[in-house]
Amino acid sequence: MRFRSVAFLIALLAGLFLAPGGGSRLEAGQEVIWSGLIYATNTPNPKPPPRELARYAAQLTRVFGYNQFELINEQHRRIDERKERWLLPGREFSLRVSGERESDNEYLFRLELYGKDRLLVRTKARLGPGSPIAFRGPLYDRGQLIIVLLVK
Amino acid sequence: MKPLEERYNAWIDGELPEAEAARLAAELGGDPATLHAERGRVRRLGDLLRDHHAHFEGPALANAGFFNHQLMQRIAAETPAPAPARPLWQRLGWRLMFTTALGGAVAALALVALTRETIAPDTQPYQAHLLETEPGEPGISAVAIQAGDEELAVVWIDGLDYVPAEPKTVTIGNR
Repeated sequence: MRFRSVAFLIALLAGLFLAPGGGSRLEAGQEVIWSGLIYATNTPNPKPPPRELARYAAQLTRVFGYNQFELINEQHRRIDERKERWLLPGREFSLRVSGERESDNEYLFRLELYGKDRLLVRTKARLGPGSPIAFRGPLYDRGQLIIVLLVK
Repeated sequence: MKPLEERYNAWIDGELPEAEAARLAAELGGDPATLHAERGRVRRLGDLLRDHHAHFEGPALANAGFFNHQLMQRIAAETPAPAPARPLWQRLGWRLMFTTALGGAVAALALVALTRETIAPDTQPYQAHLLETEPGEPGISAVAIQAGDEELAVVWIDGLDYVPAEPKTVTIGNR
C-alpha cells in the first residue's frame, strides 16, 4: 500500500516534469499557421464546429451571433520568418501574412485581407499558439463568412 | 445470626448449643434420626481423611533450595525471551521513509505548480493582441474587438458587399 502510494506520487511527478507546458511552447520551424474560411449560420440543429474551432465555438457564437460554423476551406502553412505567405489564396479572399518571431511563444504578424483584388483591412497582431484571430467577412447566403487565423 | 455453613460445621463437631441445633435441624428440614445419621457419616469421613494424610505424607525435601533453583531455571529456559529493544531509528524506519517520501513528493508538486505559475507565465493560454487595425479603402470600416478574458480576437469589418448565394463564388483556388 505504502509502496503503491509512493510509486503513484513518483509517477505523477515524473509526468508533470516530462509533460509539455500548459500552452505548447513553439519550436522554431515547427509552427504551422492554420487558416479557415467559415460559413456561419443559424440553424435549429447545428452541426459541430470544425476541430480547430471547437474550443472557440462559444466565443464565436457570442461575438457573431451564429450557432453553426461550417468549414468551407482550410489551409495549413508552415511559418517562415523570411517569407511572406499567402493564405486562402483565391478569387474571393486572400490573406497576406508576414511574421517575425518575438519570443518562444509569440509571433508578430502583419496581415492584409483581400477580397478579390480589394484590400479590405490591414492589421498588425501578436499571436501565440491557440490564440485565433477572426475576420468578419461579408454576408453570404443566409449567413456570414468568417476568416479565422490560428497558430498551431 | 451466624451463617448456615458455620453453624452446620459447629453442629457436625458437636459444638452447637442445643437450642441452636434444634433451630438448624428445623432449617435443614430432615427428621432428627436422618440428621443424626448424616452427622455420623461426615464425622467418619473426616476421621478417614486425617488418617490417610498421616500415612501417605511424602518424604521431607532435604535440598529444597536446590530444587527451587532447578525449577526456576527450567521455567526460565521454557519462557521465550522478549525481543531485544530496537533503536528508535529502526523502529521508525518504514514510517520515517514513507513520511519523508510523501512530504518530498508534495513539496515537489507544490514547487512544480509554483514554478509553472510564476516562472513560466507565458505557457498559459495565450490571447491574441491586435495592435493596429485599419481599413483598406474608403467605405470600409474595421474595428478590433477583443473580449477581456477570451482568447479570440476579432476584426470586425463593415461595408463589404453581400456575396450571392452561389457556392462557386467562394470556392478557393490557387492564386
